[in-house]
Amino acid sequence: MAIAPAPPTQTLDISPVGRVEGDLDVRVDIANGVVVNAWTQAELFRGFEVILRGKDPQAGLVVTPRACGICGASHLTCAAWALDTAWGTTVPRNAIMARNLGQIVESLQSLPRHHYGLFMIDATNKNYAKSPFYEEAVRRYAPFTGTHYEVGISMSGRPVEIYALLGGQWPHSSFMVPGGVMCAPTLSDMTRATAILDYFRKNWVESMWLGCTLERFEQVKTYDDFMAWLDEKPEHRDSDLGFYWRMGLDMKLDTYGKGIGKYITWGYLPHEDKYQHPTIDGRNAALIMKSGVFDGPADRFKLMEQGFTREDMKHAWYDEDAIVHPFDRTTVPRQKNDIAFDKKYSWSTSVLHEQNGRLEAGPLARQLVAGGPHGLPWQWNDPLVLDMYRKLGGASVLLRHFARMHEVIKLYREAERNVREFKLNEPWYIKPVEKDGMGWGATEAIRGALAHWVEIKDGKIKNYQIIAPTTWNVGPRSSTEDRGPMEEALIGTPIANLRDPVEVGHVARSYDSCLVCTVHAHDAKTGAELARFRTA
Amino acid sequence: MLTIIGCGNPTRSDDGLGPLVARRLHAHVSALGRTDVRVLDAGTDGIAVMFAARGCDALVIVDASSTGSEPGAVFEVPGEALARDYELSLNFHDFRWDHAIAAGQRLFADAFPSAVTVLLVETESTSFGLELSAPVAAAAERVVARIEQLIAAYPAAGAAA
Repeated sequence: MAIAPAPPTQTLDISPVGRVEGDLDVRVDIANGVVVNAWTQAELFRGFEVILRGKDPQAGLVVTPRACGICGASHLTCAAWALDTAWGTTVPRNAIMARNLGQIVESLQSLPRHHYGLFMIDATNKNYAKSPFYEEAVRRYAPFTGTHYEVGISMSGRPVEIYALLGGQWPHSSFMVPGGVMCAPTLSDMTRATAILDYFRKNWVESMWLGCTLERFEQVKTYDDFMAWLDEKPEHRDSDLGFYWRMGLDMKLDTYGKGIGKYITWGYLPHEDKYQHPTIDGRNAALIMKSGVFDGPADRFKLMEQGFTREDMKHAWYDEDAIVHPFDRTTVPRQKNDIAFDKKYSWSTSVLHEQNGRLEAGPLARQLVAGGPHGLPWQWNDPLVLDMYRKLGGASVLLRHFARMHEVIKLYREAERNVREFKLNEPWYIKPVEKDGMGWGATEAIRGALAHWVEIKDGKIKNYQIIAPTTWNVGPRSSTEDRGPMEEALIGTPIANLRDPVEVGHVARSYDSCLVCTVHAHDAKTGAELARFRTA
Repeated sequence: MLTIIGCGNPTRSDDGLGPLVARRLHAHVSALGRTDVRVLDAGTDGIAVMFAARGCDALVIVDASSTGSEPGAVFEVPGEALARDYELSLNFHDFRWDHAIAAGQRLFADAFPSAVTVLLVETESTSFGLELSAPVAAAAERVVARIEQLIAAYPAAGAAA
């Protein structure tokens, strides 16, 4: 009896994956034109945890927003709330909203930037030249020359002008401090903020992105509603959302990039009346957008608790115990970081939930959790993405990116509400008393779950730990040899052209992975590695 | 379409010249009711200059300069003398209007103005501050008057608006 030969497997190293924030390397094994194994590597060590050790407790407010040029408000939010919980501060209502508004406008900025600057450029790849949508995609999305590329890139700078009204600049402001915020906006600032939001809504969200009013799209609660909306009018079909969905189906983005099917969100946006005395344990009951873990296969929802967080260093370049809570980490980077895929191959740790294992972070996770029955009645609920997930048989590149962009509506509404709700004559800051202790601050950066842990001893930082969304998503294999979320999502990805594996890029970009924040100083010894592109 | 773009940082004293001139001209153009002339304060955003100029047939750029001349000196320079190819560096934040002219002409070809006029005013100070120095404030008046002439003369006989 003849034994059929195993299909030849080719190994492809992509380094770096372009158009993601930061430096991501991916190795994939390909057999019969499909990815059969994958390894994701975070290739830069940054060392924020090491930088902060022994510094003034408030150093995190200045240092951590610089972990990233795109999500600085998210880091600042975490750094401030972490100190608030450690010191037991009182944070006035206005300050909670000012922090939320800063965070929201940064996230609004990120949506068109990601869609036009990073994601849709893929639709102009010659891989799709035969698609009936191709010519229109090139007309709209070609970098620099695309008509919608121009609008998207220009428009993305507007929302963060509101951040500058509050924080003096964006990015890298440190206006959020324990006890509140270091600003006192005037009526004219609020008038300008309103005008900026209105401009963003009229000139991008409604006219270009949705092709309809926010109110109309807010009626879309189910997959069927969405499909009906899509067919309702040419304006809907031809909007950038409608076009994305139709061309995405043609690109078969609904057929791969599934991932591990389990999700995490810290939740975010504490309500201004419910978190004025911030504690670690009190956070879940104070959030407008609830936290959660969603186990897709088991169809179960629960709240996310920080105590269950673990980092697994088995396959990461750290000389530390294999699995520990962030408060117990010592951050000992390995000096000799050779790549060995069966041993250690990434600066990212694998992040685990003690009970639920590996989890995917990101806007998809937030939107799925937003549809869950857990949490409190007043917390925000939106069934749309969960319904789509169920009807479409789980996650995919198509749904993951849809979920990201869908958030524009809720974020816009919340920004609008914040601007309206400020009471300009009330306090913005209540001076706290410094003390030693443990603190934790979390939020949702646009690309997913972000948290800071801080331990203060003898008036200095004893330990500072950051787990970023991309740490969750691009982490390497765990001690149990389970693949990380993105590694798993790459399995089954069809590769049409080995010399230009754009499909790997779709998966990576659907996570909007951001490596700059994941591993926390560039090592010149590995710098030469970054520009290579080889097939081995 | 004639597009006039003021560039500079209004919190850096004399570098606020461009935004100031843009504000003055915006009022002027609105008062005239001209719809074939657009005025923009681009701040320090080179990409915005490139996109704003796209599709226009004439472009005027106003900025402060520090060339070693006496403060308040005004230069009117043809764009081609200043256009510069952008050289890739560690990030894209140093992409300025001079790069925008070169890149825009290359990327958009006929859809980018070939007629570019750059008005530069020599600074006295670019340290932190919200006010222009006396010589630069006086020069701003001359620049505004000069561009008002350009607006009045636009479109040139026979040229398409």
